[in-house]
Amino acid sequence: MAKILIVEDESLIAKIYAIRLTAEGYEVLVAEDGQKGLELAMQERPNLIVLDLMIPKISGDVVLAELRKNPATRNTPVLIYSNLSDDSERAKLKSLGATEFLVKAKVSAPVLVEKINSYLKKA
Amino acid sequence: MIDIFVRILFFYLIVLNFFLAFFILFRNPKKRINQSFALLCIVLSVWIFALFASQNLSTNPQIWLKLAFFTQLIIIINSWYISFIYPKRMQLLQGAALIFGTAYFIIFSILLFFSSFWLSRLGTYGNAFLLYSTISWIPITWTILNFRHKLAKSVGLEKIQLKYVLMAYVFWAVNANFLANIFSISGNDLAFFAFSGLASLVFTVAIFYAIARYRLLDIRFLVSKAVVYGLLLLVVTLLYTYILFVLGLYFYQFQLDFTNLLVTLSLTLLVAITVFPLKKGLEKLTNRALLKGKILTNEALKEFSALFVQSYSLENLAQKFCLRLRQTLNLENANLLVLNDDKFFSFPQKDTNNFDYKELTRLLKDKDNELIFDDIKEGKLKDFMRKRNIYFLQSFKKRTITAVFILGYKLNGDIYYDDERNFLNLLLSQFFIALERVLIYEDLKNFNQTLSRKVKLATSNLRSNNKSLRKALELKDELISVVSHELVVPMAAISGSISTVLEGYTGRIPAKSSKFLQAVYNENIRLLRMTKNLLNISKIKAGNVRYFIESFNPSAAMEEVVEFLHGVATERGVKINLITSKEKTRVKADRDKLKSVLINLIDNAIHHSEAKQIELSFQKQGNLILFTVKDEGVGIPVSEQKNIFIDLDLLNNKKKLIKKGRGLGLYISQKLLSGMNGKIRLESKPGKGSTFSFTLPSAQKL
Repeated sequence: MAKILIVEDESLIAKIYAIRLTAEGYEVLVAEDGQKGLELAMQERPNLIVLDLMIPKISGDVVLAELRKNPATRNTPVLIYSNLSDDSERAKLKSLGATEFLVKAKVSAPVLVEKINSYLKKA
Repeated sequence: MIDIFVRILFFYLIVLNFFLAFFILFRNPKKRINQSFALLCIVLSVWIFALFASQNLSTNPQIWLKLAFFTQLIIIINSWYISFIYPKRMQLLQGAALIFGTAYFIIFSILLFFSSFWLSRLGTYGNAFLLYSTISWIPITWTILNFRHKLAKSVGLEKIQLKYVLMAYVFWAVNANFLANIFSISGNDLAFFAFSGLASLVFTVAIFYAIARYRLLDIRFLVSKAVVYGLLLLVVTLLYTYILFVLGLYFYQFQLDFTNLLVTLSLTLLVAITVFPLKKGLEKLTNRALLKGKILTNEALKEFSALFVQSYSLENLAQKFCLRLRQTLNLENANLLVLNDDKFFSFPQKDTNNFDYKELTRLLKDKDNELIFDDIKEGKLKDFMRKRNIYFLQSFKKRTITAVFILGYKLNGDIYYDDERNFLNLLLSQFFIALERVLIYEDLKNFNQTLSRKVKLATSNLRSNNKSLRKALELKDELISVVSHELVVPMAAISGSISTVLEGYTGRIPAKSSKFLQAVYNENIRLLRMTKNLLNISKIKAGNVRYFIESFNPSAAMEEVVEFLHGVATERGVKINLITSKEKTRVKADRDKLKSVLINLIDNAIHHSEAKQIELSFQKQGNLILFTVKDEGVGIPVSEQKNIFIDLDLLNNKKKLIKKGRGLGLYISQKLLSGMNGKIRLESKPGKGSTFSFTLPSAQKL
């Protein structure tokens, strides 16, 4: 069973993803802030991380940078799922190592689920 | 009696001619014409005198007579010369005249003085005289002809001047020579002299008149005055002489003879001439001696007037005035207070007098005459003046301007004399007038400055208003952007939650609930789209839109759009017909934005047209692809069709927006299309339906 880590501070949103992903057959872990997210990432070694940028304690881009530093999480696919749609941010995060950048407003929950499927069900 | 009259006349003529010579020469000593004319006058004087002397001086009358004839020669030659050079040099026969004239002069001079052919003794004239009087006609006629020639050529003033000169000359010459002719034959002397005098008189008077009236030789003013002066002298001396003589005759058996007459006349003339300058000199002396420090009021007033006229600034006027007044009257101090509206000035500014002007103005209230310490009664005012050593106070008030003159004691302790008080009276009222003028001028200057300052302020206000307005607009757009962003988040959450329930992830839901939940979901989607539209507007306005243009077949995108709106359409009972083209078409556009436009148009049709069917189609049109969204609904009123794509200002058209709800979507669609080189248009008939169509460039090469 593939493990997915969702780092999202809005609990409703996290619940929505969780319920769908669980229905898809994944194990879902939720972190409400960047610090918890890093901890869980190190502990549980998920197969994919959905990362929101606007999170408390440690912000998304720092978390991403940390994830890429650590050899354990260097290659984990990280989908940045955020409301920000700034092009410069996008480029910066891509250079930091984000696998993909998704805008919440444009990408709905089902689409996200499909995306995740495309990453995990391949392997 | 006639005899005496003639003698007096002769005397005057001699004097007048000298005057004339003097004025002519004085006018322009370097000019030849002036020199010649002056010489002529002088010689004429000598001629008259010689004639006169020959008659009345017993000692050797023959010499005098000879002198008379000699001067006559000179006169003839001189006039002849003048006829050549006045008013302008004449070359005609100058050479001949020169030779003849020289010869004439030399020969006859010799004959006159060194022979007895002309005049041997009194009463006996020789042949030379006859010869002379005959030949003299030649130069005389020549002179006259010259003048006539010049007269014919001249115009205007010059012509008149020449006329007089000619007339004078003719009269004299004809007279003198004609008589000479007669007497060379008849030998009678007496009439000769009288008539000569007359001739000379006419000459002199004519010349004087021509000068006074017609500016002969460019002398005018001086001579007019001189003429009047001369006449006055004449009258005065005659009067005095007459009185003296009468008195003399009566009291002293005065002998009436020529020497007496001459002496008296000369004396009275001298007195008459010297009286006036003497008087002035004496006056100055007595002034200095008796009236120490007394001012010459007229001159002082003149100087002050000059100051008043020249001043244009209050400071200039008042400072100089105080200073001068102090000097003129020799005062310890002279101060001035000026009140204009509520502005207060004190002069001279160097004095730190600390005048309690408020108290002063109170004390001076309603007193607008001059207040002199010595003359006023005991009281507050007198105490005030005593305390501050003020001798003279006067205030002038007119409308908003008040001037208070504060003068101290004289340096020598004297009182102000009557004429000084009169002087002050005149001066101060004049000053007040000048003060008014200066204050008005300063007000005008200030007004000008204030005006330009205010204009600058207003403009800077406008500019800063403009800036803040622009900032406000920017903030508004930012606000919309931020708010829209914030709104999207919860809406996305709602959307996600509802879809989770609807898709069964939370378990089975009853059909009724499902319907309602579906409605909620749809409305939420609409909300989301509207908010996104708002966001887009602010992005478009801020210029933050990026177009990713690709070439693609629009069919797929259109199918996606229909799919997307399926739920909304079904809910409203509206069917969307998609008519795809059989041809292979590729459009050059931003995919997402194309979809946005289509969604906007179809959504509008669903919600506003009240149609049951909406037709969506596209086709090739040359270089363009034409997309059409057609409905047969209520249509759009003609009055609104023009402005339908224009951004309706949310505030101004709240009503419209609430009613129609189209505004934003259409505006955005139009903007998005124009960013992709597309054009949109509307065709609508109220009651029949609306067709929105837009074109996008086609990607030609397959």
